[in-house]
Amino acid sequence: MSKRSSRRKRRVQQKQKQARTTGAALVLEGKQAFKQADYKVAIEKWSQALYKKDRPPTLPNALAEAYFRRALSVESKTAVKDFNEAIKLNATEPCYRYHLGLFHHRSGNHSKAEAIYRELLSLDDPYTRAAVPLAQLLIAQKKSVTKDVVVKYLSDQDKLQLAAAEALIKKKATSTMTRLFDSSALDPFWRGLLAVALNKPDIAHKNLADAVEQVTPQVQAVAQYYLGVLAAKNNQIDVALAKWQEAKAKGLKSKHLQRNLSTISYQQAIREQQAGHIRKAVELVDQIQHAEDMGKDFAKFQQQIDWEMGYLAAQNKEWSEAVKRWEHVIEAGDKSRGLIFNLALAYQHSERYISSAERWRELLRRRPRKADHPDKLSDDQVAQIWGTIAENYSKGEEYDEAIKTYKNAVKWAPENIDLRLKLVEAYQTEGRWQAATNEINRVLERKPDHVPALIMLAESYADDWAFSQRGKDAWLRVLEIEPTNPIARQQLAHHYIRRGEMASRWGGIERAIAIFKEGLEHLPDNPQLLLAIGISYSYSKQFDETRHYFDLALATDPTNLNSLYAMCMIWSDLGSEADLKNVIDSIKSLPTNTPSQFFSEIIDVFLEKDMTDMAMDLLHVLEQNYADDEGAVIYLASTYSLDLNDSKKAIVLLKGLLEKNPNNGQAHVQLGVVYYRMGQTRIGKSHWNKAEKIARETNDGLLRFKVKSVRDELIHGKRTPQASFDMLRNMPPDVFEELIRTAPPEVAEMLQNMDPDMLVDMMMNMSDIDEDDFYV
Amino acid sequence: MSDISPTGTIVPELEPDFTASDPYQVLGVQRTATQLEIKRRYFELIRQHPPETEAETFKIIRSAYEKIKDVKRRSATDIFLPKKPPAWTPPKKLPEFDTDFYAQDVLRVLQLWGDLSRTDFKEDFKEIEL
Repeated sequence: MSKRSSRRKRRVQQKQKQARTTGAALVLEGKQAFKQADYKVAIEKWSQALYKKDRPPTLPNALAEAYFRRALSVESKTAVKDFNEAIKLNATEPCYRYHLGLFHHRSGNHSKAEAIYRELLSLDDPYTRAAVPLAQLLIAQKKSVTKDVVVKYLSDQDKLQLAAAEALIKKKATSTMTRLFDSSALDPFWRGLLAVALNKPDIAHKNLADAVEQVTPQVQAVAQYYLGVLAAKNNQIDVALAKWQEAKAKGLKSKHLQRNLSTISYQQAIREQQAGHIRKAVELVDQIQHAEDMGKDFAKFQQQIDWEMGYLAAQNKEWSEAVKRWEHVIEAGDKSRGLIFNLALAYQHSERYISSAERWRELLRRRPRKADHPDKLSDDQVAQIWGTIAENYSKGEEYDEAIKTYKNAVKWAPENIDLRLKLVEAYQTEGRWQAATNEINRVLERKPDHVPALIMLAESYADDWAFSQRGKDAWLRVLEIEPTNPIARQQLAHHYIRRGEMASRWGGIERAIAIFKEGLEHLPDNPQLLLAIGISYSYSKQFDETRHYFDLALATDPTNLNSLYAMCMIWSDLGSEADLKNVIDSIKSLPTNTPSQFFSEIIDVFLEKDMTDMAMDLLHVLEQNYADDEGAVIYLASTYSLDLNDSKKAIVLLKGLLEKNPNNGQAHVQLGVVYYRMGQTRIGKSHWNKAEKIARETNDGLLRFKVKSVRDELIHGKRTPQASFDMLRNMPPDVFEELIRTAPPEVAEMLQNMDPDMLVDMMMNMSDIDEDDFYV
Repeated sequence: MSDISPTGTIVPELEPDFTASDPYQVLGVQRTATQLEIKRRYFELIRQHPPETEAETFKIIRSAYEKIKDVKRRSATDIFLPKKPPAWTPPKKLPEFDTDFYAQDVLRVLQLWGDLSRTDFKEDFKEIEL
């Protein structure tokens, strides 16, 4: 069946259903809706019932009433249509037409409204309620009420009030107003307004004040406004303000009310500004509407307020507020140098560096040149400003401009060493080493012993092997001038170590030792150099020399962790337990704030080399001194459990930790592992569940991953990524060759220079995975 | 905190403000103060805030003084201090109040009179007979 025939069928069925519904039922349904003020449904039902044979004769009138009521509802969008339907259904009801007239009247459709009012008044039984709105309409159109037929339908009281309104609107002669004013039946409101118009302030005040008590809030607003006018005329500004504010609060929005309120705000703002209360003045200025009515001086006042607010903000370090205020002043046309200066400063503090640089440049362009000008800048000041411009360009990452402007600054103050060094920095930032060196040499020509310049010179050479000798000479020069200069000492040591390491790498151990010893001549107590010499002697199997230099290194800096670690590695590789014991004694004497990871790394080295006694020695130190270090306790537990098969000890340690901090997820993971391996799988799993819950609550992805990894590995026997890496590491040579053969050419070329270990390291680096993350 | 004089010029109060970035504000002297006045003020303040008991405040006072202790340093400091707002005199003639009588206010009242401003017409509702 096609869609069209289906629709047709539905329509026919619907019509049949409607036809089956009786008129009485529809009338009843409509009546129920009508009672609930659901006029839409009432209209729908009764409109259907209208064509039924069994409908009651009064139904059209009821339907008319429903249309009428719906038309009066606030949300009605089809009021005119509804009124017309009501009128069509019940033509004898004048009230419906009257309301249609009012609707047109309110909508500004005056001609239609007037026609309806007149029609209602001309009925055999005149509908006199239409007289008042018709009179209102005529007065608003400045037509005469007294000469119109409507007058005969108005009450005497209405006639009087309307005449007063007419006189005021048409500005009738004083005699007319006076006659109306004298009438005792006139309401106080109208008498009050007439008194205002007749310039009788006292009577006006009394009547309007009385009227405020008697009229609706909207009419009160007008009365309050004129009470304010009377007060203003009497110079009672505070009273006027109160009355006008009340009028505004009651909904009066006339332009003259806004203007008067704005005038008061303006006057008060000036008073506050003059008293130095700038914020208060700003609040008042912000209240002013129709600024154009405030005269030409108002714009200047606003500029002044913005100027002062900007200054106040700058004093309070609210620089973005200062920028906003001063930008307003600039936009309003003030281009004074003081303002440009302040804006440059404010941009700078607001980190709008390029804007700041541009304003500073503008200021320099416009600086007074005459020698006797009070604002003339000295050469040093011009140089300082150029320096500031350059600094802004530099911070705004416009390095070319920064260099250009530093050069300008230097031109204005050639002897200013600080500016020259800033230029050097800019050159260095841009990698213009030769220009930087030239500029430093200019500084050194002026001040040969200038340490910061010498340091910069050395740094210029630092990374360039070709000039490393010059760099070294510069550091040595610094140490001649300042023997304890820490940067020079550190960098000089670094220079020798780099050179020595390079020599060592190429097999020249003796050459390396010579280089390190040359460094030692300049830096006799440098632990890095002493250690390097000791290590170099160990490579050449001169162990007495090694021992000697290691002792010197430890004597110079007994807490240097790099030295201690290196010594452990060297002596453990060589299996020299006596030397190792000496180093361990030094490690045991380390301060208690030494990171626990240092101990764990050395313990791991010992365990790998089956030096269990040494490892135990340090494990005890760790246990005693790091009981509050949660990472250390977990490491201890893991080591006792996995490496030393002491699960009970591991459990005691982990339970102790969890007593102190039940939310340590790592401890739960580890405790679960210990229990699981002991065969207590239920307890193990419950700890992993707890760890998983903590991971969820703290949104700790790594912890969640660790829980999954241990479950995969211990419960399901799955390979963890660590296991995958192990598989890669242990792949047989023929598999690795197959991998190279089948790889894309560029990858194959890379793999040919690698072994499986290097491949795993590279993969870990590429995927940003830390192998340690997989240890559990 | 600065204040504004009746003539519109900003005059710092002679209260030191140790949170300010302006060294004159820190010391509580005017920008027009002589070198001698600045020095006297500095001595007065460090007697009130000696380094032994108020080390931080002393540092702030000292640092501010260093910036303006002699003419050369002062000139280098002054060029990077915000400039004061220009002097301003209020206009002699301000806008006057509008005290005229407006017919539109009467028209507004006329619009609000009687049935025109009413919203509740329940008394015009008729009972239905069905």
